[in-house]
Amino acid sequence: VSEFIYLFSPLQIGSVVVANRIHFAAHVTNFGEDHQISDRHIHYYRDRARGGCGLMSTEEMTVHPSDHAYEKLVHAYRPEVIPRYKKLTRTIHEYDTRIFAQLSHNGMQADGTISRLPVWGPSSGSDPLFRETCKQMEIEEIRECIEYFAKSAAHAVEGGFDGIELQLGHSSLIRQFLSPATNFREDEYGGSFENRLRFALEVIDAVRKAVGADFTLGVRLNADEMHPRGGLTLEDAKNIAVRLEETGQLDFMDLSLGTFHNLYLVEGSMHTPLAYTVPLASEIRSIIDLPVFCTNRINDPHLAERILEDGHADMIGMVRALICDPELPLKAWEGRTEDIRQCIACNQGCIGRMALGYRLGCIQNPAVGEERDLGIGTLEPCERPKRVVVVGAGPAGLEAARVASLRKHRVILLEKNEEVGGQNIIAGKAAGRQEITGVTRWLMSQVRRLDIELRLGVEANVEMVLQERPDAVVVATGSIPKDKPFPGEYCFPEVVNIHQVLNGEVEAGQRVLLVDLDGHHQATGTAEFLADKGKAVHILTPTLFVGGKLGPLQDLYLARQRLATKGVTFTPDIAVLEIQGTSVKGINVYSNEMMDFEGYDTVVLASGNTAEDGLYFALKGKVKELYRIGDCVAPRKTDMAIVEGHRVGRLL
Amino acid sequence: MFDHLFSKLQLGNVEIPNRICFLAHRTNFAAKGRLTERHIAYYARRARGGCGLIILGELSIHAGDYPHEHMIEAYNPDSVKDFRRLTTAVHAHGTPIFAQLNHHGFQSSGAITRKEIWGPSAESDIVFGETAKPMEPEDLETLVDAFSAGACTARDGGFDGVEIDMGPESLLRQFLSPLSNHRQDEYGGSLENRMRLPLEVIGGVRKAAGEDFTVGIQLCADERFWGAITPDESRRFAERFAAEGRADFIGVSVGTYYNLYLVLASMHTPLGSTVDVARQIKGAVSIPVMASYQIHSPDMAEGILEEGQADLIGFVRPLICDPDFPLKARQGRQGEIRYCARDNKGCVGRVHLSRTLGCIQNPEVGNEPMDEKPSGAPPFGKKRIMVIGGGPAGLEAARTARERGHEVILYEREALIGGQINLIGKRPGRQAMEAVIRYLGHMLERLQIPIITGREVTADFVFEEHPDAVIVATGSRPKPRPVSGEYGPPCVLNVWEVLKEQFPVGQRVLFIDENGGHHASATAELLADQGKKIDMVTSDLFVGVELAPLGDLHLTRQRLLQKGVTFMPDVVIDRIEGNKAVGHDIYTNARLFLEGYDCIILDMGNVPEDALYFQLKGGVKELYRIGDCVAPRGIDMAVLEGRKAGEML
Repeated sequence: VSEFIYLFSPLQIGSVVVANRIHFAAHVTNFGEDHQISDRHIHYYRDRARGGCGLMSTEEMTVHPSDHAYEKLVHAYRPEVIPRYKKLTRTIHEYDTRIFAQLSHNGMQADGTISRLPVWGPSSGSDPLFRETCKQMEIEEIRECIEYFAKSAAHAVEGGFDGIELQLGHSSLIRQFLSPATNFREDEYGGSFENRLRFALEVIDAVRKAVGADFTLGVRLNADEMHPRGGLTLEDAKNIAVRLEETGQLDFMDLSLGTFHNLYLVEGSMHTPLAYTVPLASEIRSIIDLPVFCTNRINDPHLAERILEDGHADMIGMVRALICDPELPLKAWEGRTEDIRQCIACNQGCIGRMALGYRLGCIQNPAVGEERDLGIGTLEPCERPKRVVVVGAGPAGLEAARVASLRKHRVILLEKNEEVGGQNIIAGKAAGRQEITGVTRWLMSQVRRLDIELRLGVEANVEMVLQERPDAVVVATGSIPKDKPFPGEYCFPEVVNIHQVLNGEVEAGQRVLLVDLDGHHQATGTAEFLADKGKAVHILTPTLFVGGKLGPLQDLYLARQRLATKGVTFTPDIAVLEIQGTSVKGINVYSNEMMDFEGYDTVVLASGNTAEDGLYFALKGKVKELYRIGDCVAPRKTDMAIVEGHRVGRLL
Repeated sequence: MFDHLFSKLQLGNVEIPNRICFLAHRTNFAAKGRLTERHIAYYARRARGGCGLIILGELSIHAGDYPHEHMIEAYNPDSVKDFRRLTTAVHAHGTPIFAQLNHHGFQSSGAITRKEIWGPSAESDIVFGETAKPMEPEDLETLVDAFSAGACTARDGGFDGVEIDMGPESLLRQFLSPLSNHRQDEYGGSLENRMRLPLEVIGGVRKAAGEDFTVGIQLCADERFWGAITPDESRRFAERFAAEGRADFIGVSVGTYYNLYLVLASMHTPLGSTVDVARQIKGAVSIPVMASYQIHSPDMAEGILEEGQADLIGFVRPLICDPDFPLKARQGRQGEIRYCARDNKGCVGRVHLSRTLGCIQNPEVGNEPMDEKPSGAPPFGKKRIMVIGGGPAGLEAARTARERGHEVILYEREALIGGQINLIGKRPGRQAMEAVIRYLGHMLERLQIPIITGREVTADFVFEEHPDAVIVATGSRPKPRPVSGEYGPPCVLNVWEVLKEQFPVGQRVLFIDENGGHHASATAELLADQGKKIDMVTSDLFVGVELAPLGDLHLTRQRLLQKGVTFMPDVVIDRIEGNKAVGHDIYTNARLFLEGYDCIILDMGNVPEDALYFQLKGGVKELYRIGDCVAPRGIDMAVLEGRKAGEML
């Protein structure tokens, strides 16, 4: 019997019984092809079913041509989707997993650049993200939209889904009707609570008629818009939940929160608390009888078990946790919780890539989106075990060693420092970034149990490597901050790099100038680290604003808020030309005006890295098989270190 | 009258019928790595319009080069049959077509390939921000092989030649330029070393594709940046490429990754700004030289050819906007040419946002019909149509409906047609937008469509007229009260009141910008030009967020700052009382009191003028609503909806 009694108990949801309480909730993947479910989707979802989740919901699929918010949206209103639906649901039903279709209309949270049509909303207005003024829906359009919801629902039934979830959450036309922040109509669909509810009730009614009485139907309700200027509050959501339950047409209530005004709450990063929506679910659950699903930042079976045990929710939504480790449910069931690769909510591989229009990925799990080739069960033992020397135990080297060892190669892993993890450990020292070291924690948990010879405190050179008589050498020696990124006369300890600050090699003075060519957490996290120590920090950057790379990660708002409230000040648009002592000369990249920044005790540089490629070039031509992976190829991010480590592990 | 423009030219073994070349450019029409029917229809349409040469871009010749999703995988053997369909369709019009071979080097990322990107040195592009791997000797060999294989694929695919890209977005330029090439080996340092790889590539392509195959170069002849390629250096490159590489022609471009706003520059850069560089290159070689970009009319092109500054003229946007530009010029119908306004919103702006190529004036871009019939079948019966509103939506609807044989009358409330475009034209640097109305006005005149101006149409009037169909295109107006508080003219004005000079504007101005585009920044610039002191406040992270995809951000911010405008981002205005505004910083929530201004100007969006539409709804036989009166958006949607309504009648 599993230690997770509640997590692995079945649940009746409408006419469906799910085997456990883990729900792989709806999320955009960008895997769609020709506006259909693709084979990539199917392989992706199948691995999560294999991994043991009891329920999954597809990504949002749109019900009407006026909604084409993203290029890869599945067009649920077209009957052509049904054959692919069937292929997906048949595949998932090979496992003990139920699958629901999520149907949505994004309303004014969209633009017409793909559809070349006006976007629809309850009232004229624009979304903060898409910025396009919508068309206030005419009455005929409201009726048409309801009809299309019903039509799309019928397609889902025919396609073999076990249920349907209607999106009334963070991105939804129906929510826009519910919310006084977006609905200013003066007809029967706006104004009073009853009127704002009307569209939702009519959609539910039409969908229920289309799917029949026995089919499982639920909604994803926005439990709190948390809008600073008058959106739906938890109290409103409770009233809505009661009214929706009273219809007798629904079987479950999934929850979300936030809107595109505060997307950092919808897709909370490691800078938000774990399980931060549970209190909302708990409140809703206390007043209705339907099963309540909660989501967001629940990455651990112990946490999930506790939420269920305490009666806050009936189902636990996990998205990033199962992107990162599809086998989380199975591992929890088998009591192998140490083996779970926990999502660290860095948002770089998943949300960060999606926001830039790329396919879903994961910095820790290189198989995401490539399940057919790299998914569960694809790793084969090698034909001829080799003696492999891996130099460098950062994420790239650890992953290469792990995969090579799993394939039965004999692996010797050399690390210069006394601890493994490389820059991942340094990254964890920046303010609020501790969780990122989960990358190293998991890799080490695996390396420890494999037959890998790890030698710490060993700085490898050519002779040492050759003495091992390796069949193959993998160089993963990483990168170091650029030695002298700007001209001028300056030196340690007045001018330092962020590694020196975070490693404690230097105690910065009281007044700090931080030169940010990074735009990522390296710079802002170091600034916050210093501000937390009471330093007065000023950030210079040549980009338009501080935190230029944080937007897609949903870390921009909170990072800037924390910095500003901690007294950190910003000067954007400044390119640094030279440094003399601690005086920094810059130029405004627009006006070409020269500016001197003086009076600082310490200048901290976040100015990029240089590859540590000396060993690679020294070995080149001297060993049978030589590979180079991660930052020593070109300094990039953790995702590429792990992708390349994984690839080499399979190639050997 | 365009004797030079419409004279033949020999490029290697290929004779092109005139001097108009449709240059390689990004369309985002590719799907799943393949050339599409959309590409074929698009290029065939330009061939039909009479250009002398087409160059296909967007090819990836090596799997490691995948800067954006919509690349055509020329390294995939399946591409040959796609290319054959394209080249056959273009050749049917007697137009030669070349393929451009490129590798983007470090102007890229590994986000799609999940592999490292290549560069001469460990540099990163300012847009992609990803550090490149300095290419190893084996990588250089692989690259030369990839170019050679690409040339063979192009030849097998029926192309008449290739153009090797050494332009602003190319790995070969990165090797040529001291800005990006810091190598210590024989491929970096001296001029000789920097051009070694490009020469090896030309040699490889020549050898692979055969001596009789036309091979040209697109050369970035002036990077216009400190420590970068200058025309002096590029003349020497050109000489060597012609002499040693035996290149058949050289296309000239300017700009580099720091200033890509020069490459498909908007109306805010001078016309002809690249011609002098072409002239300098022409002075160095005897092979044909092509001048490109910022050349917008047949007269200008003819002048350049006549003066011997270039042998061939490269166009992109003018032929996107009007595929029949060459035909109309040759037939002396220049008045009918729909000239590119260089607004960049429909083309560059969409492509940078990963959308398919479009054009604000030409809604057919990307949806060209495969056959030669004009789109839209003729109407069943001639209808009497009232078009209400003479902005771009109404004008395009009237034009389309009339061309399909209907009887059309257009009503405009103001004294002049043009709608909001007349306001755009009052802003500094934005006058080129008036081209939209010039063209449509000219066409309405030619089609003899009656235009009743100065007439505010009422529902009763429409009912009295008994039209068969009504098209409401009544536009939009600034939101009457976008912020709470007690305020109004003359202290607080909206942008229209400023542009129409309805009230005098004081010296110290607070400009509230919730627009983020030219609407706000060009109005601020107008006032700054009048010597006023402008503080711009926005809740966005920076002033001008909508300008970046258009390539207009850098120069706009430069002009504003140099004219003394200051920026206050991150601030939401909550309330205005008299000439005082209260706002808060959206990060710290600190309250801000903005006082001491003579005038506050609001640019906070529009509301539709939809009253007439709702009065007519149910009262007329056929009713359409188009453009801003549906939802206030841009000219692109106005023209598109005008076209659609016209075609539906």
